[in-house]
Amino acid sequence: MSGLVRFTTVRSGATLAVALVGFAALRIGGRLDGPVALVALAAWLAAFWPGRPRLEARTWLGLQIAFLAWMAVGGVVLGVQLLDLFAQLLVFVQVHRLLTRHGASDDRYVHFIAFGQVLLASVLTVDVSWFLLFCVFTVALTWALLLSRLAMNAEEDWAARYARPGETEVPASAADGLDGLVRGRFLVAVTALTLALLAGTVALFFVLPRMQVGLFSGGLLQAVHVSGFSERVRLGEMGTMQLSDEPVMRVRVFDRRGEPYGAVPGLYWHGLALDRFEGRSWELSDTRRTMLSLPTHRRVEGPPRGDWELEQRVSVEVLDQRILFHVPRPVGIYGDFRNLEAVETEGFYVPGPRSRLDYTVYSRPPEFDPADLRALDPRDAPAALRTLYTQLPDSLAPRVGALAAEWARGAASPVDALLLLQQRLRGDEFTYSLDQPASAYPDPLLAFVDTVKEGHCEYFASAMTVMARTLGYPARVVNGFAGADYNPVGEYWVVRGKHAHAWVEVWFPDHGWMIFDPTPSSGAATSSARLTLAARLRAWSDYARVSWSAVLLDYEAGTQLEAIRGLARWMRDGGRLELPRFRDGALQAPRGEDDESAATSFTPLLVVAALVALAAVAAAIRRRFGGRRRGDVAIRAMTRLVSAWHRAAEGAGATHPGPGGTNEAWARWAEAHDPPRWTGSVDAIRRYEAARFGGDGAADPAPIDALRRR
Amino acid sequence: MSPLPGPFLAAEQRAPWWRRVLEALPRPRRQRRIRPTREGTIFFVTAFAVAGAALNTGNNLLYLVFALMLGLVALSGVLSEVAVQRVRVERRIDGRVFAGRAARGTWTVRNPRRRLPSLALVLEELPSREALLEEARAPRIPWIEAGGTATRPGTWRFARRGMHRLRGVRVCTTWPFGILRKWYDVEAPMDVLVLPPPGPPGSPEAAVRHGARDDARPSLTRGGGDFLGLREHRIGEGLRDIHWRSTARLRRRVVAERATDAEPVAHVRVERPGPGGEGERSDALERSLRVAVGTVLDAEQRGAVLWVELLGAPPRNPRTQAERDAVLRRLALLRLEPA
Repeated sequence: MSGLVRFTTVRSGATLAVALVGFAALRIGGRLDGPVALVALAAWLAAFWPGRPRLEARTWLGLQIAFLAWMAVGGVVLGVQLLDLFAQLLVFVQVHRLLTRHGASDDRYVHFIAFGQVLLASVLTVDVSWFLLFCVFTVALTWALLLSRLAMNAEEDWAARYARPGETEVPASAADGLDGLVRGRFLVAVTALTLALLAGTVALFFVLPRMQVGLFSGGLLQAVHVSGFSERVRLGEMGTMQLSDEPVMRVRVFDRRGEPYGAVPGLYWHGLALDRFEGRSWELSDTRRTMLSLPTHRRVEGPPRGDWELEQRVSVEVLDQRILFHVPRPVGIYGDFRNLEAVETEGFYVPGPRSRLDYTVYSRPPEFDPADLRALDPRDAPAALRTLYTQLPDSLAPRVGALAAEWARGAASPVDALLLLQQRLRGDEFTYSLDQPASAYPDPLLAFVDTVKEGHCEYFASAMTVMARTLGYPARVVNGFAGADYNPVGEYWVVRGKHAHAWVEVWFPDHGWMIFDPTPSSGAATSSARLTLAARLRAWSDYARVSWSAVLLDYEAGTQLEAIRGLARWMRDGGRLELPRFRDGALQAPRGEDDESAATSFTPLLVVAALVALAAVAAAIRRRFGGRRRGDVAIRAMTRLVSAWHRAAEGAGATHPGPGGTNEAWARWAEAHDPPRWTGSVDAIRRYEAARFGGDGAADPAPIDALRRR
Repeated sequence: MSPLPGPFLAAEQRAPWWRRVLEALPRPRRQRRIRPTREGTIFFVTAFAVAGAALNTGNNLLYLVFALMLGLVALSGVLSEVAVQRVRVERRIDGRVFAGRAARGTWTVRNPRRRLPSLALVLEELPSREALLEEARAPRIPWIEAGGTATRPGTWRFARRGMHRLRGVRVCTTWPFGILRKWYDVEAPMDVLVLPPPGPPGSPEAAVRHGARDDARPSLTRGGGDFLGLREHRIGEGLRDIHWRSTARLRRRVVAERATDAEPVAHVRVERPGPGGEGERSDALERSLRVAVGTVLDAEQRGAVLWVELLGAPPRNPRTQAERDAVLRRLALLRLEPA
């Protein structure tokens, strides 16, 4: 392979790859868009052209001053976020470096700036693409650093051998001698090293102790979240969530036998029921939350003792509200939390900072059978419930009530009346549309049911709920999700933003809240039977994101502790290791028996390990300080002797040769000052110096040491 | 009195206590040492900052970046060992070495390993208290393939005359990432005789003077050959060489040169400096040694007969190269005796 690839080409390519990854990291972090991205790309491409025209230093200085001025104006006057400014600074500096780099020493700056960009991206995004970039960055950086360091050495070598005085420019050919190095074996070895580094990095990641101190929170960043969920429904407004294809949660549903439940797309994921209608919006009339706490510190696992039909394992992405979505009529909720907050309308929240939520809910969904309900009248509800769920705004147009009565005319029972209302709204007369022409009207609900007859689920749900209330039935709008896409790779269902939905619940005696869904096209789900290639790729992509979140993003002190306990159990049990496993979209801790006993059995091993470590340290010390050379001994003895003379001179208070005095002058002074003690000093010094500075014989420390001891 | 002040004595008086303690410790043999480079210091500070941020926020991506940084440090330790391991170094200084002047030589570095190359080496002279080097240019060797040898020119400049002992060679590398500098010391003692820098031969400033036994030495002017002419009397020439008649006529001291005197003869005489301060006496000796060395070299170059008279010893006539080298060696090692 020698001759095919030039060393300089590989080095330059690796450095530019590092720079590109840095830019890409900022891009996925959302801080490299528009013209700035174009400038960065142009600079990167120009860096491939060695003979490119270069700007003068003075021009660069002007550009730098202009950029700093822009930063000052942006930060102080325009209120640009600090992180945005920092990202722009990194881009500017990198562009400058790419366009002005000459030798290998300039590459160091490119590497460091790219590292800064990757680091910045790590706090701007949690996307799995960051990890992919990180892997590429690790490989490219390793290559670039290895080769740049060699090139720098070669350039220094060239400068030492061939450069004329004052010549600072090193030619590109300085590293030509390394062309022979870039051969197959070297390439394979470096590739293996980069892979080893990656593996080591991941291993270290899991070993590093976890804690979240939270001492400083500068508020530099908005919390990263995928989508939002509102506690309020306002007609005429539609959140971005409803237009988004982003996953909101991933679910696995099992029946009582533990078999996967196939009709997940038909399930309604209850978020929050809203009881008060203000003419344009739905909200909670009582927003107080009741704290529900576990009576024990131990983690409680399901299933509950009560009657349940569906087990739902849910993983909710980061939302604005830490709300627990569930199939209606939850019997038990389990998760890695000790407290829950509940509102009156069956909404459950997990207190704490925004983060992903993993939990399991056991539910007994209502079975809707009109025959069972025909004999029941919702108006027989308890007075408090009826008061709350039949309230209507004063501004409600009488026409809405009239239409409700008209549509329900002829119904034999309340449930038939409700079904008639539902049927009417689902009929051809009304059209499902994400356009919201009704919102332009002063009374959007009246406009929807009377004239426009076009809208999305919130209009349909609001219309039916209000109409039911005008008939005296306790009803409410429920906000949540309906529908899901199946992921055959991970074997779970993905509920996306576009599955956000609103429906109606009406209270029936003995049955509680029953679901009605007047929206024409609700509950549609993607079939999982045959996937196109694009859909399969999408499924893989989503599965990668889930794995990324479960294995890396959600790795925390608890998981680490479980791993350590697993290790302890393994030692105790003689090698049968049971570590946390990635299962069901999350790392599942092994179920241990008694952690305390495991810790106890771990102690002797720790003691042995400590003893071995001590022995190794002792051996290292002995190895380091064991060898003594004769010359060094003489020098040490001489040093001590001179120190003794110093002390003697100071003690005597006599004049002595002073700091600049030679050894022999000191010796003579010592002999003259205290003959019994120092006789022979001059001779010893002379012999010593003769040995050191060109006489005969070796520097024997014995007489010097004897003098000192005297 | 020794012409060379004890270097350890000066260090003893200037160095702080902890330095003295460290210097009193024995030195390791072929022990690897590691120290962060300037870039490495920045790298470690950054790593600490990333670790702090990770601990503070619990952001696993920061943990991942920190793990990468630790991995780079670990890999750096392994690869740098591979780069410098088992390197054989030889150095050779060519020709005579004069104090204060660059001496040229050659570094020869061999990588005896069969498979692994040596990479990005930097060779340095070990700091030694037995050699006073003003400059020793450290050669760089980017790559020596397995079993290969590389040679680089070397330059050494010693501060003063005497016998200097180069202790050994420090084999360093900052490869692979430039964050750590790893080195080990190879004991390769080499005695270098450093001559006084040659002064102009026979220059007036020379302290090469005729002693009491002036008549015992051969004369340039008192031969029996044909008269060739008159020339200025030089400092250092005996009074008997003066041609008094011509001196009286010309009112300046002159000597007569004869045909037999034209045979090139150089005379070197170094005497003990006269009374005075230690510094003055030392300077005088050094000046005379420079002139003496210059004279010896000049004589060697001209093929002149050399007569040497050192510190009152009888004049000797070194004829062979070895004898002349011995003279130079004595000049290099001559010490100032007490007044």
